[in-house]
Amino acid sequence: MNAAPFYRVEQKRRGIRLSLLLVATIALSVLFLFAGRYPKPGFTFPSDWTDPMVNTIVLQVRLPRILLALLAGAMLSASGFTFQMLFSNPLVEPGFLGVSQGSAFGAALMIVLGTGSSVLVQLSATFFGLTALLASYLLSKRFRFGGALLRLVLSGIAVSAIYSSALGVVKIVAEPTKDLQDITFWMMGGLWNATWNQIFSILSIVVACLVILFCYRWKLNLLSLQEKTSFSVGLNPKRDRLILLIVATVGTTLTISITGLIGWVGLITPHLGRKLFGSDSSYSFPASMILGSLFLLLCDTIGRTLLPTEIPIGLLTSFLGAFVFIIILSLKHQEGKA
Amino acid sequence: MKIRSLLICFLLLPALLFAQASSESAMDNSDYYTATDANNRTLKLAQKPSHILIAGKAGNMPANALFLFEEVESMDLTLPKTDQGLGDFFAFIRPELDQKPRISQTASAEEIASKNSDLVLMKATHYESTAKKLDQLGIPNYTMNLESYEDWKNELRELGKLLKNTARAEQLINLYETQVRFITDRVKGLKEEEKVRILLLQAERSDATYAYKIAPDSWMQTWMVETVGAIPVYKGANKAANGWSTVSFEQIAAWNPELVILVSYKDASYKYVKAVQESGVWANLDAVKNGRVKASPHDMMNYIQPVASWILGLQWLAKEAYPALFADLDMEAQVRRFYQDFYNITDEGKLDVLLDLYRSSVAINTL
Repeated sequence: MNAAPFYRVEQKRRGIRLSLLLVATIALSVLFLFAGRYPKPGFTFPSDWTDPMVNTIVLQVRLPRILLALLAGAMLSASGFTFQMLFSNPLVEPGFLGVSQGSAFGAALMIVLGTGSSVLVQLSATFFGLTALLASYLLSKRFRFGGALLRLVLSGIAVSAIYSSALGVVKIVAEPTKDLQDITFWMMGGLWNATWNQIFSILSIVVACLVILFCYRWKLNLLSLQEKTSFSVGLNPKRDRLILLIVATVGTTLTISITGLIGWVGLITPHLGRKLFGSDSSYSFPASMILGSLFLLLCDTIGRTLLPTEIPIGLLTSFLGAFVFIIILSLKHQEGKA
Repeated sequence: MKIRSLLICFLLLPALLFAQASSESAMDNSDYYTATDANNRTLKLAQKPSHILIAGKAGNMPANALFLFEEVESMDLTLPKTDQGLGDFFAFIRPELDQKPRISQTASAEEIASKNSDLVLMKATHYESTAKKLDQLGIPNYTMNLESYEDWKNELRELGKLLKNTARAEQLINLYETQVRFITDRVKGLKEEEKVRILLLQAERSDATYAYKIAPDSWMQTWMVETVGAIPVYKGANKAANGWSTVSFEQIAAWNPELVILVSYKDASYKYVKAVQESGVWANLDAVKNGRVKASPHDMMNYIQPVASWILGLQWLAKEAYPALFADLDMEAQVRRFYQDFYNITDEGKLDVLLDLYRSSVAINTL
């Protein structure tokens, strides 16, 4: 029996579903542009537009915030997806290999050194995120235990722990009335302080990273196979893995240098993408990116709309993410039983 | 023989018990230095504490209370870092403190023990982390809350007992009560529609990013706004019992306060007023358009916080909210009088320094 027609139909269905998801995300983004706490909690109606404050809030406060949520969600999810595929490990996220911890340490160090420049904080976060990746990679070469992937997992755990401890030391020596508060300010993260300037400062590089990862998405399927297998189909697995890891790390560290540490997005949304669009990354990768944007957009909209005070975004992503995680795992279990 | 011994015991026992009781009562009344702390523990010291260590974060609050008593002049003090980025008040009034190394705000019980102090003072929030361990080590320690007007009155009274200077404690309480009454008497006739709607925000800055936070309802900052007869527009919004909560500009615009007070505890508040005045986003806010975004006053400590100078913050807030009602309130005279009455500072040079700092902190408000 010829499977090609079935495959084509399935591809068409996935394409339609992906388009619908994209349209839904865009529609919700536009809708949420009119949701907030001014002039009253809830939606901003056309009659409110006579108030010049509404104009300022929609264009200067809500719009950059929504765009940052979409951009950061897509980047964190794309990185999570890439890491999960490259390490054939569904529990991996950008925090893996010490990237997040390295970035947090880099930012904290620059704050304590008192340079007072956000560009330097961003650069330092990116630099130490990359050194964490490099250290994990080089350490895995020296380990004499298990296969290549297991060695990388173990070295990642070690590097994460080292950077976490180093961050702890920086926090101890930080001047409590100023530097420590700045570090906490940065670590807490959130999109409430989004400005156009911040978005423009990372936009070009993050979009470039997303485009590169998107173009490499078909290779991710092959790179998730064993190294010999991917080599036999014409890939250069070592080079391609390194390129993808660097691109994912740069995109992640730049994003979190603006948003602070936001957990669960990079872990949950790739799972959800694969659950809804199958394991073929041609569809599940873009789906994960869109789902990451949607997830962060939803969390941030709840965080800025529900209460008069901001609900920390990390709290919402963890809470909603854990629910989604439980549902995904439960569904898998049911499938297995069937 | 046995009967004789028993008889002697029977006769001696009441005598011994009586002697013990009378000696304890005598000690209670005269010899012991005793007081109840914020965690409801009664501390008894056989001698007047002469070497006091102030431990933990927010150590400037118990230090503030202690410095209101003249006994502090003869004490050997070990302080944590008490500089809020505006200068160190305690080293300013006692310069020799500047030469003495400060103890870390996160010092362990062991580190504190190594300083051999007679008494450790700290905020009540350090009870679990520090006070309990010091109890295990047998180091006398005393906690203070100082987060409300009632706390200040009750805890000054107890501190007075601990230092056996209840007269000074009552004098201080009387000063506070008189000055609070001066304000409440004037604003009590205000009708609801006459009350000014105030938004008090703690501003923080990290590079070019600003965060604005509101205080919980139970905190002294909110009490101060209400005591001057104003309406804190943010009341009920901060559900956190123990901390400031970030608010978005959108929520600030929705509250549309008549008067915005910007407070900072690590920097000069006028910098934040400048940032607000220069921001395109804030420009449409009524308070900005009407020039009613004000920097909170400070010298070496911000007045809008639970330190001894909160009374100056209250007076300033009353004058900012109702300039006509408090037209006769001369803030500069009040600052000078506060330091004379509360800290016994008589050196004109020092008073001038404090006054200059106050003037420059609020200069932006009159531009």
